[in-house]
Amino acid sequence: MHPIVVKTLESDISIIERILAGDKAGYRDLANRHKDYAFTVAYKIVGTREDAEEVAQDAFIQAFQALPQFNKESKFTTWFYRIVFNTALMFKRKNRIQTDDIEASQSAQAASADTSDGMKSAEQKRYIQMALNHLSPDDVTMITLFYLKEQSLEEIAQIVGISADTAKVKLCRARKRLAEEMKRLLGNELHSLVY
Amino acid sequence: MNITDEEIFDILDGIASEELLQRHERLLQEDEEYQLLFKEYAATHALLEDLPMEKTAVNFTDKLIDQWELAQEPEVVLKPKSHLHLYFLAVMCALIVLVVALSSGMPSVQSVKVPLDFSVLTNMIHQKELINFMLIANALLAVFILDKKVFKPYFRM
Repeated sequence: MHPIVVKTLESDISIIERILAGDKAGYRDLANRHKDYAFTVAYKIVGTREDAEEVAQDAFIQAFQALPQFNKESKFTTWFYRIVFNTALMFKRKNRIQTDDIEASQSAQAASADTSDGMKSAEQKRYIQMALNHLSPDDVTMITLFYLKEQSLEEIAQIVGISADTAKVKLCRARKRLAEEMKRLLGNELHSLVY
Repeated sequence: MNITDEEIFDILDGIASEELLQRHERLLQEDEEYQLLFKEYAATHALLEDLPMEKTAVNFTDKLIDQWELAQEPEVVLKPKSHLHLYFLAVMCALIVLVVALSSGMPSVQSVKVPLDFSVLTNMIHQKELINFMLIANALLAVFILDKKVFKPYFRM
């Protein structure tokens, strides 16, 4: 009879403890685990892949530097996504990029990814990104955090640094603005794009 | 009887109360404007629910770890220490001491009554060529130091 080996996913906290104990491989593990999400949040806020990569890398470096001060009682993702959010905001403020340029580059990226099967999905992605580019970074963050990993309102509130009630109001406003933007972009086509 | 935007999103998120759902059903049948608004929000909500996770570049982690290792290395500032000014001062001091000693006739040496003949050296010192040579050497050294300390940093700036 073979013994049953139960492989559990190592928690963020235990990876951090490894790092603090001197295990350098832990940095790689932590980065691999959270890179896509950090990159996506950054991408939604800054608008281009190149800048998003720079922001995500910068956020990781900041997080690694601050790891000794991290309170292990709190959730790593909440703490880290706050760093990503702030880094992306700072970047956005520093580099005010022409929205039209972003739209053009993203349309090109989406168009190149189009296949006959994935046409609709690529179209949806393209229009959502175009609409998001017209929203404020705060609105984009609220929407991204809520939909991408389905963070709770309490977690979103902690990441953005506001109360849960305010987060709910802000999320509602952000979704409303996005719906208006989608309507402006697509008119009556909005419904047909989805269904 | 109206339903607020926040309440519509509660319905879409699936956290609406029974009472709100009933109001919503009623409005959907009676109010065309509400119907349109709800459809618009529902379409956007459906699009957002399929929001894809973006993928980083393949070498993202490698680049990050390289950057992190670079950031951890202590910054070493290699500034070559130049002792040229000290050499210059030392040479000047030695020259002054030599000239003063020779011109005063070396009294301490005379009191011991050791027959020392400095006349050759004194003659050499009093030669115009040697003095000129010394002056030129010092001037060149001064120009060199001035160039290194003042002009080069200025033009580099």
